[in-house]
Amino acid sequence: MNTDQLFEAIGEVDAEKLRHSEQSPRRHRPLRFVGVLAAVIASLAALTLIVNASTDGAMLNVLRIWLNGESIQTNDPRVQQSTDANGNDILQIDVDSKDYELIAAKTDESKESLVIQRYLSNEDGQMLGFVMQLNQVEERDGKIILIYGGDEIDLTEKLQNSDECTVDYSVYWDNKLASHILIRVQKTANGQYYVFTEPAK
Amino acid sequence: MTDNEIIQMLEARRESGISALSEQYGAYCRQIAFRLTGRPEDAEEVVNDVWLRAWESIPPQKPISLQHYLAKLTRNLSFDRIRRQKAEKRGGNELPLVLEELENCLPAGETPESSLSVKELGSAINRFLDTQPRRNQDIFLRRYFFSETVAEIASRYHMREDNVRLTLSRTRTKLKAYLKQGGYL
Repeated sequence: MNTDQLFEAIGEVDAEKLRHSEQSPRRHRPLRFVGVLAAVIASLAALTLIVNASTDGAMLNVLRIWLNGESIQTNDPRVQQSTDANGNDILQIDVDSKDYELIAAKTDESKESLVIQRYLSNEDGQMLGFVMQLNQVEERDGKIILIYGGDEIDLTEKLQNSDECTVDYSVYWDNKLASHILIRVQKTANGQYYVFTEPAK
Repeated sequence: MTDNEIIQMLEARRESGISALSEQYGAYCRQIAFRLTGRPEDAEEVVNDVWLRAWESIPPQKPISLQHYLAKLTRNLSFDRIRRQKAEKRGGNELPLVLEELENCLPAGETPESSLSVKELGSAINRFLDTQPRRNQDIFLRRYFFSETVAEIASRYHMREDNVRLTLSRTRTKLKAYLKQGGYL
């Protein structure tokens, strides 16, 4: 037996196990999203986010970009939008520092699903990969509930007089603080909630 | 549109079934392909191959879970593509690391080609996973089926990366012992 065979054999795992793995650790079934593949090409001086059109022509709208914790609108002068020869929409963001964390949040055309892509680079400007997250806010019994990491957080009070709020979310593992996350929740004009996460400073 | 409706379209040989697959599962399959190949253009071609393979195989196949049927096709076709291109050393994809880690499940030194079928070995791995805690199963599959990076898994489960590596290492060691005990190694 070799590693190729082992890799192929893992491909025979039951669909039920795969489903469980994909849905964990969420308590709720994740939203299914329709979308596009995004790829990032980074250089020391500039960061380019390329948004490829999906095969059926549907295009995601880039809603908000978080760069090192700063919220950047797509009409920010640092953001240049263009289209390449293949018809892909390109967002180019000038980055002064080689250390950056970029979080791009996008919705599909129906605004029914949200994809948050988080791009990380190391100090040499090389991409380390991205994390996709789907988050969820529910209005239930007159309350606004954020579902995150298997927890339900009541945001009713925080969102009573504001369309935006933040939540400090600490994660403990083996009784030790494992990570500390800042969650931003933003209510949109059409009554939807967008959820952004970033490491707390 | 439900999975059953898409499958019915494919069974009726309606090409709109391919569009429905693309619309419903395009992003999902691209994500898996991109992780393995590390290149958007490769991922795009793999996904196109997935639609073709799905068109050719349904019918006679009638997957119980269309999503995971497509995930398996995507994974296999990505793997085939990388193997074909002999691109294991090319930066940017997660596959070389995944294969290197899986090597720990095998005995050291040369391993002769086994006559064991992939299906038999897959069944053994399924049985092994049934003996593991659910969380460890999930983490193992996130890494070795979906080829997520350790950082992605750590973020998802709110674990430290060291803990993810340790969990994976322990599961691999147990898998090796299980396969050895079962006469697979």
